Amino acid sequence: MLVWEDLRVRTISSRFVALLAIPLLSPVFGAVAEAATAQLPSERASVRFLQQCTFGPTPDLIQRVQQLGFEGFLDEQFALAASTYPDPVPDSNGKTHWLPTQQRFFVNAITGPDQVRQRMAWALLQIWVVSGVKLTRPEQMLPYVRMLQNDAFGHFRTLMEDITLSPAMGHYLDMVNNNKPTAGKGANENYARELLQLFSIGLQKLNADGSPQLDASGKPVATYDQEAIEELARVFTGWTYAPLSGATSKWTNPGNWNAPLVAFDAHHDQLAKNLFNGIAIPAGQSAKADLDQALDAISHHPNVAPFISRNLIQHFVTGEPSPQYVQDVAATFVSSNGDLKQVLRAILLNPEARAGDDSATPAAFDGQLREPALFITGLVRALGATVAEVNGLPGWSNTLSQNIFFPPTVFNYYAPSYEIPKTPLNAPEFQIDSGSLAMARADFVNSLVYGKIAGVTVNLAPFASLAAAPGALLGHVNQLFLHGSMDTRMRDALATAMSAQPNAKSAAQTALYLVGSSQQYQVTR
Amino acid sequence: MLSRRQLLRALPGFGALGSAGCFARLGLVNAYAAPVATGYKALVCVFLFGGNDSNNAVIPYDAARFDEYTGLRKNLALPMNDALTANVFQVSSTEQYALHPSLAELAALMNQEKSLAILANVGSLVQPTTRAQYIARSAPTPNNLFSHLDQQTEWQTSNVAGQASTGWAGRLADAVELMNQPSTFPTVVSVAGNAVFGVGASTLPATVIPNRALGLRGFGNDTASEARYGALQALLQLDSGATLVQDAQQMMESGIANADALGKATTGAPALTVTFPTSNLGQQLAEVARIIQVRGSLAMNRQVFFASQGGYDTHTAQLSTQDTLFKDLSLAIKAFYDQLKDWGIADRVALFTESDFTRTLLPNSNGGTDHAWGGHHFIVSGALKSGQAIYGTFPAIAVGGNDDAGTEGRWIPTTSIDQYGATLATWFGVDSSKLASIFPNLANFPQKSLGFFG
Repeated sequence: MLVWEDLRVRTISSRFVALLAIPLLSPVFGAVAEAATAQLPSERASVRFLQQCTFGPTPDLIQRVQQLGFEGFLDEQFALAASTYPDPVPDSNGKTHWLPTQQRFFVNAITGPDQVRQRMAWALLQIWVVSGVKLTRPEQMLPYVRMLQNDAFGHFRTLMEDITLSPAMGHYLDMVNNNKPTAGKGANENYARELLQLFSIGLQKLNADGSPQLDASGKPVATYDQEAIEELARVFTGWTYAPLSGATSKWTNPGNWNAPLVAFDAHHDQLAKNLFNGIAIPAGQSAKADLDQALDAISHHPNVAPFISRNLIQHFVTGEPSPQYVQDVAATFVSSNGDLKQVLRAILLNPEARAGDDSATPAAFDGQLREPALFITGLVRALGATVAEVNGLPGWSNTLSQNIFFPPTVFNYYAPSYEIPKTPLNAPEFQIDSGSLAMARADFVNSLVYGKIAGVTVNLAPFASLAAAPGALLGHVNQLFLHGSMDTRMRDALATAMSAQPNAKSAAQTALYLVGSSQQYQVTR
Repeated sequence: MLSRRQLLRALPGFGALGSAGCFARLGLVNAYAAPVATGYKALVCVFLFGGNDSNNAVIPYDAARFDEYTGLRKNLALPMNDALTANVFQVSSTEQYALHPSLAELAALMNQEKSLAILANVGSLVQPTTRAQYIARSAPTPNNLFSHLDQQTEWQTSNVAGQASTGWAGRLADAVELMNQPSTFPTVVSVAGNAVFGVGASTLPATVIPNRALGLRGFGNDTASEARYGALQALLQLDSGATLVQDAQQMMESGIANADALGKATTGAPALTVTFPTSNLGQQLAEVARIIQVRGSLAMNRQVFFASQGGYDTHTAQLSTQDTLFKDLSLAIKAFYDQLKDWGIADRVALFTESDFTRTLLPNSNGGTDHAWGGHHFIVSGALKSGQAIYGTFPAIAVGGNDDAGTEGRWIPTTSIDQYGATLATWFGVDSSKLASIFPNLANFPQKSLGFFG
């Protein structure tokens, strides 16, 4: 095991590479990217690519990427319709339950053809967070999930407005029924604050490469102050739920989860508002005019492109992108007017994301820890397991600290800024890994491989037949799980353990358990 | 986890000293540490995530201020009824307060057990700060006030930057590490997931998931199992040259070592004698109690725990939400205290609360309150000084007054997190020379200890 001095040296050197070596090496990476369009990707490259943009590589998809190339594969994926979520079915008491919707999340992720759309929707749901912690019934959130699926490849400004006027977000961050201030009662600041802090521009002024701007004394520069929040909170007054079918609309309407919020200008604060950067909203405007103007101002803030680009890179490729990587993607964000399709393409095809495709090229970045949902789906898909509509996967995801549709707060399951203790490494998913959770991850693999998860059926026969010759099984597992990165020491340790098993099936289970629970698998690189 | 040898090697300075110097220094420290480490002590942080509105936790109850409170809080003002009156306590001939009706058990801890104190208006500060200074921006203030994540971090780290790599409990653990020798079990244990609170420069916290069996599942004593377990251990040791892989390996390795140690210590331990609430917080505190119970087997003299309760971000529906959360909080803390008292160690443990911030005194327009700054916190221990209920300075119930950062009742703290933490750390037994490195802005405050311990 490494000791701290080694770790520190390695950490610093990896940062050094990430920060400094990229510009030096970029002609080389550029050549790799050009080659990718000219010649079709290798198996290794295809597996890496699918780890980044789907719920896990399968032999079929690897073949598809190798046929179509990265761009062709993305084009095919962009055109696929969203996997569906049925409306929740009430029980005999008229109550709906979350579990079937959570189970459907895993069915879609594991079997849905629209892998990239679902990954994007899942990333968006973890940036523009709403949660079952407050939305008490699944029918309150499902329209929001469907909206994210539909907006996944649209424009940022559209997404921002759809989210702002969605009843789920309206309820979650209290924009709905936010009345204009009266004497001694201010407007509700919740949505105004988190829209700026988490969904669009962040707390600090950024350079185009995502690094913070510093003042003369070296301190970060705040993007807004408390007064700006109080002013923006008044912009978002005067909205209530859409009237239910056949009902007369009034201030306030009861919960309607299937239509955008509607404005009541009599409950909108029509005084002038001063936002950030000297942007002023004049007095006397309607709720919708104020909202349009504020959302335009926010979406034109120079922070949006680097802030959202970095956040999305973190969900697909790495927690610690180089400044150049952020700048490249942010440039696409700007030039495409926030087209999320183009942004995702730029993220996935960037030389830094593709640097590990060639095993001879050392990866300039360190990849990411698979978050629990992706860890679970990646293994189930790689094993070729079938998953039933009723399955035990949501419980496991919850055990691993990622209860689907129930992030604990608007700050998601983990913070984009999270750094691994005692290192300077920004690696968000590590916030929900720990000594005890690492063991729980291994316990999940144990249950999966030894066949004890409800609704999930693993056919071990193909693996067992390969295990008759340990080298054959390990070769297959190496390609599918580790894109060929298994070194000889790992191979030897696995082979030794396999040889101590009583039969081929047990040998296969041993190899699958050890690879699935290994950190070499859990960190995608 | 890191072995002790690795930890020592990691300590800045030890490497440079060379082995002879290293041993000499260790010998000195041991000789010094041995008498200090007599007797067990533990700190238990209960973090109230979301920003607890402490304006409705501790209510000024004397007639003049209760009227002010009622007038400004409007629809969120708690009514003067039997439930509130039952939780009243007298502070001086003119000052009365009441705890929220759902904090009845905490009121009883204060009034009957004399084991609860309140620290008024404490929060993140660089230095003592006035309203005029805050408005003129003429004094340095903490970064990103009113932001959840930043203020949670500031509370857990005593670092006003909003981002920090070590927490104050982690640095405290670094400072008292030798008191736990030769035990290799981590000084800080979180039963609420990862938190920077317990991360030190040289020590890392353990995490324990309440009610989850310790150890890896699926291994027997047969040779096939042993071969598989041996390979798992071998893979954990493989240096692949990838930083994230190694960080994850180290995490798993520490998890296995800590689970082994805790498993051995807790095997055969008697059941708790008090029934804890089945709530998340109740079960977290039950887990803390089970670990404290086996402090002897773990050979621990000093421990720090991190527990949490979420849901306090009451921008709407504050009255009902807080009512539910406070009932749970009050019952869970009461069970924990009763368990310690039953074991005769209530004076060895201090439980205290932290939270992102408190909330605006003025309600917003839809039944809740918004993010504010300084708030009131609870300390529960059998070691408290008797006869004083409130420490610090309670803010004037007025908006736009000297205690308000703006016009909505956002209290500028009159006591800092550094002072709060330093008081707890001093009771815990840390050398006063270490306080400045644990609480970086303590030097800016004349009063280093708030005096709530006896």
